[in-house]
Amino acid sequence: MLGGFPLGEYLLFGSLVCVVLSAQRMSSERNEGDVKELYEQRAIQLWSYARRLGLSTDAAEDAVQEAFARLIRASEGQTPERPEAWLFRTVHNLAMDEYRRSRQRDTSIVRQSASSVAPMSFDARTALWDAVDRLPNRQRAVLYLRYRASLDFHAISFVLGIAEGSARSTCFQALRRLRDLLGDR
Amino acid sequence: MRNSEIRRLLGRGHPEEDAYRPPGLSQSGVWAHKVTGGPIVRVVHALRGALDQPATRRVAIIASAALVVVAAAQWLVVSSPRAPRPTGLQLTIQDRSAAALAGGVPIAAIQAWGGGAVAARQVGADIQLILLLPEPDTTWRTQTVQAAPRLAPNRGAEVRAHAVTCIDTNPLASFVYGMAVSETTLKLDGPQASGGAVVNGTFVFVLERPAASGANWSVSRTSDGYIIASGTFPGGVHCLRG
Repeated sequence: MLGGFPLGEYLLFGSLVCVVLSAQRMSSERNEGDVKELYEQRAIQLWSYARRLGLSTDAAEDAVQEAFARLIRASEGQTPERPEAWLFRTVHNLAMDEYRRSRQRDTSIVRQSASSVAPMSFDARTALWDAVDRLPNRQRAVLYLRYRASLDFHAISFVLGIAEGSARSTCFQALRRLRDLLGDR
Repeated sequence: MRNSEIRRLLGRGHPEEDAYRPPGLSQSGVWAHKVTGGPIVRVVHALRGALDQPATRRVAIIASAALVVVAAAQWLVVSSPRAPRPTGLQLTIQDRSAAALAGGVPIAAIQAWGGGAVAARQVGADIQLILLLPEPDTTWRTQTVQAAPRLAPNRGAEVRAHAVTCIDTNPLASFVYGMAVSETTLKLDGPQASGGAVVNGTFVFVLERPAASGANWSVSRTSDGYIIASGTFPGGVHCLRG
């Protein structure tokens, strides 16, 4: 007769502990691998995105590291639904913070960046990116996110905090403006 | 230039990306993830409900027993020893509630970036700094130094680092992978701090004065060879390089 003997409760508790411990272990390993994989896939793009937003090479590197550090911390709570877009958004926000600080210091990091990108040469790729760096901030960001980072417009709208339709139209305008700039050369 | 050509060139990335190599990812911190809610809790609640009903109690007990066996087997599998992964991720800090190294910052929040950077953990009353060797082309080995934190009330911390012997013939160039180290930085960016340099065979923290108002860091060397960094962190300071 099992009535009155809390065997079921013991078994239940034991199973819960085992399941939770196993799940924790597996979740930990999976998340560690996920972050590492993300880093390998996206670190360069995130760094370059921060550079396109006007950060120096060091500051861009710091922003990428900070974004991943935040991702690790965030993943201890609720993992972001779209970690790649989340990383770009974090880098974007960090770059904007730095931009605001630089304006308070009465310097323009964007202007510095635009003139300090890769040494000018006459190949098409360099000319193109030189033109991209002369676009307004949002157009530059959308172009990078869409065609270099291969994010869809939904993700881009999340990164920039704008409507999806606005992201589409900005992309269209950016391409048109880019063609104009390249035509000037 | 055609749109397709523009897209193709954009897809190749900025030319400066070709030369850029991001620092190796070396992480310290806790990878503990809470298991809350979801199917596990729902199953447990269902079993609890079944245990309360005489008609379903026996089935619930059998199901629980089966669950124990499955879960225990699973636990044994996932916790069995495995060959070390060649990732260079050699440090896991277990204690997030450890005393602060600087201004109330949990030790576990210290991040080691840059491949061969410095991580830290609390061992008893000491802070143990650990130098990692994830990159095959450096000659560094793991070393530890002891640092004793002394906290000022809710503000700063004093960190003392013993001298360590440098075994690299060119320490300033390769101590922290990816950095041309003439001055290695101990970054104090919010809760993060990592870095250090070996100068004349002595392990040296280099702390930069943060730009945040109210922050006041200074670095000094004692007669017995300690490097002492002390000052105040007005909560989440952001340090700038240079």
